[in-house]
Amino acid sequence: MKVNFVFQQPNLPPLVELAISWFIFLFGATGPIVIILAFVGIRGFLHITRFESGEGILYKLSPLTKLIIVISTTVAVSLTIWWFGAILTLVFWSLFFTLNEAKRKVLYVSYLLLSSILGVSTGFAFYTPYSVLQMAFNTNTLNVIWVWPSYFSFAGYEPYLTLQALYYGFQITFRFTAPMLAGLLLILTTTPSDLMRYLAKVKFPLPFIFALTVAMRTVPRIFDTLDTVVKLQLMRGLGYGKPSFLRPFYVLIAGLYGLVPTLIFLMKGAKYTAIAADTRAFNSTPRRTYMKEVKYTKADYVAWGLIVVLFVTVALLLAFGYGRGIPYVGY
Amino acid sequence: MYAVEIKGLSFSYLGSSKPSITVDELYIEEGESVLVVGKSGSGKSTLVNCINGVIPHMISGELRGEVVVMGNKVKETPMSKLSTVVGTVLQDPESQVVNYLVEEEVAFGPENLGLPPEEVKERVSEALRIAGIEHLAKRETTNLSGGELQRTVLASVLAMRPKVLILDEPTSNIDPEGTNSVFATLRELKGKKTMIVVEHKVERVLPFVDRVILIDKGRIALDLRKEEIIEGVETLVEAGVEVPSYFVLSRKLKLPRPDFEAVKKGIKEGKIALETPKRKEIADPPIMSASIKVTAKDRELVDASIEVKRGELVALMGRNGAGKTTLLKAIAGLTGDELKVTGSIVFEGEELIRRPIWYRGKYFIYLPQSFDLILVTTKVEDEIAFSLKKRGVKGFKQVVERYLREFGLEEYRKQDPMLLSMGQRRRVAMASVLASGVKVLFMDEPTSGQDFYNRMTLGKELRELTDKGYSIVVVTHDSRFAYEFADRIVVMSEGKVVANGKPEDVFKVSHKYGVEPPSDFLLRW
Amino acid sequence: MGFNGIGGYLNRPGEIPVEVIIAYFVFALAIAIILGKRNGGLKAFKTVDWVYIGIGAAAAYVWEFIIGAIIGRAVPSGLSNFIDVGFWGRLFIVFIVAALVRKVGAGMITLFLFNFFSDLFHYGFSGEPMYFIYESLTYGLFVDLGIAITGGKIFGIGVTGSTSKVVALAAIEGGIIGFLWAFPDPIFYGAFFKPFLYGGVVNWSRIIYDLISFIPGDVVIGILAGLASNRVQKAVQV
Repeated sequence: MKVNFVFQQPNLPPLVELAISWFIFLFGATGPIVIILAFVGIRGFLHITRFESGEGILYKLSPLTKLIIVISTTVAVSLTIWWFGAILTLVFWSLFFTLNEAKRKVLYVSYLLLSSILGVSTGFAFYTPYSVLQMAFNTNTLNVIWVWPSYFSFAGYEPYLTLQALYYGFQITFRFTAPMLAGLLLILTTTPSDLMRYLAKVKFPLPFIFALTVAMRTVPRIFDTLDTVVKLQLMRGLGYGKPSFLRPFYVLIAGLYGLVPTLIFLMKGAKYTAIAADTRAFNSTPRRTYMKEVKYTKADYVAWGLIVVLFVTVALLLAFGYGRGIPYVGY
Repeated sequence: MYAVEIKGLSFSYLGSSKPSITVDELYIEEGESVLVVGKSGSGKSTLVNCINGVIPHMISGELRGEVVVMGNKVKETPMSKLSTVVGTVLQDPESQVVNYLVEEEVAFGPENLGLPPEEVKERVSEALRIAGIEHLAKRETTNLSGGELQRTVLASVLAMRPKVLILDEPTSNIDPEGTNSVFATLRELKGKKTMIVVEHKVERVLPFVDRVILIDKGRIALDLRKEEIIEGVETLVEAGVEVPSYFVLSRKLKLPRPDFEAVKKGIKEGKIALETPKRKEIADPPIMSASIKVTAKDRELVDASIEVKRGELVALMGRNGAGKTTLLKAIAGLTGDELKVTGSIVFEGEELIRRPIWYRGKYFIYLPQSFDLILVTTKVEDEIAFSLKKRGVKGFKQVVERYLREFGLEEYRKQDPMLLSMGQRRRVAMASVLASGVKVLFMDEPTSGQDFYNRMTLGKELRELTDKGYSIVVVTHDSRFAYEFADRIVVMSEGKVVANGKPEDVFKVSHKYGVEPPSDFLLRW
Repeated sequence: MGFNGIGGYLNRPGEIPVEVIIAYFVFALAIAIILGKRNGGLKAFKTVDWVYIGIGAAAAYVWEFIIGAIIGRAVPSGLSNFIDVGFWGRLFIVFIVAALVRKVGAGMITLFLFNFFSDLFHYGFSGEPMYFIYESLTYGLFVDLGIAITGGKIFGIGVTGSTSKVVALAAIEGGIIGFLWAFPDPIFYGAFFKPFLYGGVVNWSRIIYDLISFIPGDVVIGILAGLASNRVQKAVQV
């Protein structure tokens, strides 16, 4: 099938055009995000990846229910049209308001969402072949908004960036964001030990559960340790006398340098963790019991009802032709 | 039946030609409490690891002889069985806790044994009660204080209902109040369990043990009833064990047992002359003075002023959570974004409150308790050169040479700092922060988890540095260390400075703020 | 029709024939089982090994998804093929775990748990269990092959001889495994799992470009990681 290109790219001197192309190639559309992230910082991310106890409805659901929600979401968005994914993304995003310290969490997760949308859409847009766009939008006419230098194709770029490609990338994004937010909500509202208990119930091997438990407890310690290591280097003069806009860059360098000392510090404690576990009969019998029983509450039944509703909606959407409306291809 | 029987034991770690511990014979009665003392590296931990089964079940090496615990031959009994007979509490609570909630941590062992849920619950509540932490049951283990965390570990071990309890330096990493609470639990358990306590705080542990064993160079050097301890005082001191001065003085006065009051009387009557620690009186104005307010989003954490003079050694003391670390971190510019710092930090006339961390780092530097975290290069000389290079100091090579020399690190210059011994690593860390030309050094709890010998060495090293003109602020819980070495003590409580002055004056009031005066001071008071 | 994000497309243009992929994974699984059995299987793992793996998986997760993701934003996106800080961090950390555990299975288990973690936090188990199989039996297996071939003396750990010999071994082994780590993403993912799972277009010029641009960085970081692993292993014993 022949493609008609409608050229709508801005009329700029060739050198400027070249410069912009290279700028986008080098810094991508995610450039501004660097600045945003510099404000949120590493600790900001800690707040949206760590359980903190709270009172909202999500804290009352059993982990299994939440796990089912996460997986159902993944299934639902991979079956249906893009805007359904967008709606689910919006639903999960608004559920962040039910968490404790909601304001800050909503703020951080919004940054994350924004950067994911920008990152994923451009990640798709630059590489999606025209044939796919033709299929997706059922048209032979593509609006070119930017022409890359021809040698960009060596990096797998399509020769032209089209409006359709951007739109397509944007639509794809919601396949990722909905499960991502659902997963974050699970992590934020579930105590690691509850999660582990449910894993044990579904016969996940005991040492694996133990390793995961250790991992969960280690995550905040990694942040704390790395944060200290980074700051100590700055204090010792890393980035001294350099202009302040380079500050994030030096924080990153310090992070790279800090990886090994951080790991040595954490791994040194491993011996004692192991002694503490083994002297308390860890892994001595495969019939490990659990003090707390796995229980379901009214909230869980309601949630399961909602999951059923979700699948009914999915079925309806499919029946009315709102299935995978675009070929999920690309990347 | 003996609780512990050891015959002909020797153990060498892999790759080591010399045994780390050799014990011809050792018997511990059921219900007996034994204090095990000795310098770091003397073989104490190796001995207790032979009793709890960590050797040979987890750490391999060459093991000879026989260890029997409550009738179980350790070598032949699996860890799961041993764990119900002998419980172990280690030094660092942070790395011993793996679960999320306190009650889950305590339930971990009984659950591992596959006990029915009812029995697990029963054991958990019993253990929480004995450890005195019923109120913490539902708390998260991630935000407990060191003392609370260590009692959680203790409870989790008690939930296994072991007959023998091993405590390997259980209070080395926690503050005095935490230490008190752990010791209170141990006092409760005396006579009910056989206890083997490895501790540096001899004076504190003595009231609830029956017997003292000294391990020196991998052998039992002394095995005394508690009442006879005075006979071993010289040996203990020689082996680098911390013994309160009045023990030594009681011996000098030929008293039958350590007697604080008698020694005090002896001093008053002039029978014994005591040297008072030397302190500097510095007339110069302070080189750094800070007046700082630190606020979290809803409450004020610190509202305090501190000043340091040139060549002064200041000890910053107070309860956990009093704001000591926060104050120093705020001055150094290390607090996170979640805290707001206002006020003024003046260094030699220059206002630094608006300056970024790397700028402040020119004048003062903060060394955390885990000082290893400062070491980022692979050679000692590179580590010392780090700051100098980053700050573009000309002729830094000579400076590096000087610091290598001054800190006795010349022979290690090409070695990897991470592979050096703890004392050497600390010297590398100090040399590399000071080499950059800073004038004020903040040290956070460098005395925690250190044995007596190491603390005294540290104290002398710090004294030498202050004599050279550096100013040092050291956060410590160790009253004896502060009394011995500090020129001045600043006590903080609830974010405020509540006492500030010479140790002799501060210790008269400090107990109100959780800082117990050392017996050395009380003797003279 | 896809379930859980798995499309199941087998005949996209340019897609590697499924038989080849199955053959690889059957072969890889057989090797993993044989090697694992010969070395005592999971029973050979002590509790401390599980702790190492747990910490490693957590660190790899934190690095690749949070810190690496932030650093990655600062790396010019056109260069992100050459400089992939997130991926390199994972490589670095997995090598270190391998050096500490030194038992066949360490690599595969670490990758499995790392995947589990990433699913919990980010991917919502989309495409599973394909990723568990794919990542464990490529990246993980390569590391375990290194452990098996060196008889547990990976990265020169426990090798007697001069320091320079040990250093050379650590660097060479690290470099080789790093080189191997450049392949799975372009070949297995780009030319099979992407079309298989999502019906993605197989763009061989991109695959070749990816492979060529991944190799130098992965080899260099592999060498550094080999050296660092040797060092960390020693430092942890101090």
